[in-house]
Amino acid sequence: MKNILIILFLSFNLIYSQELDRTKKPSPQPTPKLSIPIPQRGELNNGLKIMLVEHHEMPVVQVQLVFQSGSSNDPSTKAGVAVLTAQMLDEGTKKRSALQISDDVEYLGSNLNISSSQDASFASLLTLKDELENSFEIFADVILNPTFPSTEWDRIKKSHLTSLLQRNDQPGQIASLVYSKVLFGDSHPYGKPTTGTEESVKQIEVADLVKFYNSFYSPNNATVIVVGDITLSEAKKLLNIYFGSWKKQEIAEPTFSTSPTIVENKIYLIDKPQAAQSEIRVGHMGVARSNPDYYAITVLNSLLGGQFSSRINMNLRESKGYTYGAGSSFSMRKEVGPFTVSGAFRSNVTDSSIIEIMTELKNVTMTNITDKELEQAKNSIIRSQPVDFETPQQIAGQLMNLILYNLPDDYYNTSIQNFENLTITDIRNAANKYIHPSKMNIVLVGDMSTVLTGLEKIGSVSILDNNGNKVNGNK
Amino acid sequence: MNKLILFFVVIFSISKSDDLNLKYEKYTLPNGLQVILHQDNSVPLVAVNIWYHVGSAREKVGRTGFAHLFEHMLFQGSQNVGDDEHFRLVEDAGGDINGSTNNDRTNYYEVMPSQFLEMALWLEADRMGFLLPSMTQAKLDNQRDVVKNERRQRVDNQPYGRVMEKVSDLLYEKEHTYNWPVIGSMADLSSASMDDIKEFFKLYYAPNNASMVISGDFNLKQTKEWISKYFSTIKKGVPVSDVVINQATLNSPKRDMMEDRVNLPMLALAWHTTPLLGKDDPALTILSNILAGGKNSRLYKTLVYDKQIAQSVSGFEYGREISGIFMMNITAKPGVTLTEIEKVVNDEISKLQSEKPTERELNRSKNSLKSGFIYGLQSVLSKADQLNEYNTFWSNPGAYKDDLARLEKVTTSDVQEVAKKYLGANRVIFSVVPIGKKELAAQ
Repeated sequence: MKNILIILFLSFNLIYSQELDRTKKPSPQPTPKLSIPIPQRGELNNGLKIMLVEHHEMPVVQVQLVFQSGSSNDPSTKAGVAVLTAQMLDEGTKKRSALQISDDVEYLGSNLNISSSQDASFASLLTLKDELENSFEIFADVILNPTFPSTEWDRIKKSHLTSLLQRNDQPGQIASLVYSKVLFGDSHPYGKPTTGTEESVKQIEVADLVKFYNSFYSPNNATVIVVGDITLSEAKKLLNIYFGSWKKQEIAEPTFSTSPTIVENKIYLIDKPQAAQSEIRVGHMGVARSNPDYYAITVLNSLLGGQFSSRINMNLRESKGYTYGAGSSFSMRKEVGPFTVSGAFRSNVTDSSIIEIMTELKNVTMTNITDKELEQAKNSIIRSQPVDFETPQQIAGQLMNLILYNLPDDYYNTSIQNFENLTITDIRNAANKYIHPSKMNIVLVGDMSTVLTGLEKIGSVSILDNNGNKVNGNK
Repeated sequence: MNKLILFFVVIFSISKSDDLNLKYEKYTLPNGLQVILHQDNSVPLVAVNIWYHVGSAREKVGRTGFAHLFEHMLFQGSQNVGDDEHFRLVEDAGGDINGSTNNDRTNYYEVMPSQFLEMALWLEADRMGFLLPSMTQAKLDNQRDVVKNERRQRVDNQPYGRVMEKVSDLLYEKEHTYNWPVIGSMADLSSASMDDIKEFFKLYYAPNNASMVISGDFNLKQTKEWISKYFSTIKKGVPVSDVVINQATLNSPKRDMMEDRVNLPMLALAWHTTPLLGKDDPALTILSNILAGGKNSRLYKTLVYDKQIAQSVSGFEYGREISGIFMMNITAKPGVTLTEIEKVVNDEISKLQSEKPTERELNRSKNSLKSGFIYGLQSVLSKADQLNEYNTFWSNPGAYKDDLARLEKVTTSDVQEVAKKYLGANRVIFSVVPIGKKELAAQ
């Protein structure tokens, strides 16, 4: 058999060595039809909404419970409440201690995670099908019966304060936090770190967490996404058993204050002595996910800085060699989020890097976007759709967007046409409307003694500390 | 992009390995290229994943960092693919693309919408067979700069970023090929000549030193024809010598420290163990999980949960091809001395040496390792990587079953035995302390 195979290959070899022209890039085969699954829907009597996609490739089930409230609902002086509430849910229930929860979950081979972002809170369970009900029972226990034990809270609070101290070791994290603070201001929820600050966390008591839990962890504020080796009737049965008696309640909406207006480019520097690189964030207000120009903005960002082959990375990494990688993003949330160019750049080319970034931003608003660029950006977005729907976790993540941003269930089947319809004019209009190269905040964490002189040639420089507060003696 | 994997912790496990059957077909082209095909038509995606059996362990003293540098150069175009085209073509097709380097191997992959499989094969074949004609000094210099930026970002500007290279330097003599970091010495990269670099490529990136897995949605017959079309005329290279197993040992404890721009002190402990295929590897993996795996692990519970003198712990058996190590990292709370941490760690190790772990601990570890293996097989790319891993190091893509079986056989006595056999006094004890706080180092 083996010999036959070898002969076969030799014969292919002969055929192709005569015909093969390697300069010719192979054309694609016809595009196979990808039907993005439209979720099945259900709802419990208490208002808990269910979205389910069957996926039977592996004996695995992913459950994702999404609450429509996150750190935007933190009390104004207590940033960190939503995140710490999430952390405390698996630290003790009416039935289980913190150690028992962890022991039981690991023994079943399941993964349990509870977290919070600005806009939402999440509880996720990944389990083998064989252990679905056992895992689900623990999952429901931590969601419905947390006791917030004070001994565990003491430990979690101290540990969290220590992690905030460790955050100061990470120049990239400092750059991002200070960037948000400068952009949104002190009182806007998006201006505060979801994890809080030393000052805010010190003020948080267990009563704050209980209050947050009672206010927002309720069935009518939640959707449960189920993806994997399971049917809707199986899921409904489990959900009715474990979540059926969960009580609904009134939900408060967060309030968003207005943010500072940027009138000219401003530079904010946080000193990190001897840093090998400067962590840089450049940008301004972007858009909310509900923006009607969503499609044009997505394509615009793709060609500007959303990919490896985008303008910013090709210039600053591949052409100039200033960085290991740079890019841009519109962080689209329930409310207007930031537009940001980010990267880490060699200290002694910090000013040149900023100048190149600004040049790319000006160019994308002023000079032509080529047909080829537009096609490539559209292609990569449209064609990469199957990559985003491969595993149960990925599918659950895509469905989550539908819930958070109030998109129709067939959204992914209609969005492709909206991308295809875009013209160069649409992208140029989006660039002019949403990118303002002369009204940027420039935040960087780097070695002041190396970078300051160069920065002052670009604009006025404010010196800030790790928390984004002005350093004494500076403007 | 171009990930550098420093900690490539290999975890394979499943208790009912019969349940898991990855069907594949393997054959070898006359030029030595190994081909493994695994069909999964559930999503119109296909992964092309090539492992070259070359990592930093194939480098020589004074000429380090080449394997990782090639991980960059292989994305810079080849004879029939323009300088910036490789990334661009894959992104235009809606694909994902990357590569990674460790001590033992380098991998390159694309995950493509399945209609672009032929283009992916053309791209991979072109850089396997026809890279050098397009390599210029300018491209080389540019990527050397990018690699230096990568080091700044991943090592110099990272808290505790130098720990792994310091520990490796203490564990291994200068001549041992695991002594130097995967990213290499920046001085070596600067001084490398074009000829040095070309020689390295000719030897190690030939089809006879590579294994290609295609995993996902494809037509079997058509794909075999394409593989033959694009790869079979690539010339076989000079035979590459087998990797020489060289399990290092320490004859005495090695204690050292460094100051870093960090707020918390950190203790790294490391022991020599056994190469990946050594019989004790699975028991060591379970030992690492029992010591540092979750909230109930011995060290987490004692240091982080009960005494609250540490912020975090991690531990793993790093079963590399030539020489394995067992490593633990413990980050202390502010102001806590690493001497105190070390004493508690020693007590916990002693307990496991004098008394077997419980059956519950053993089974909890096995269960989470088993499910972790299954969760890791949900994408065509991760399946391709697993098949290639077992093909490269075990010479059999299906050897995951043997690996799972050997893990399933581990008993509580085995765990106690490996704790006694390997976690002895001859170890590396490396402290990282905040600048100006040398007194916090483990004495």
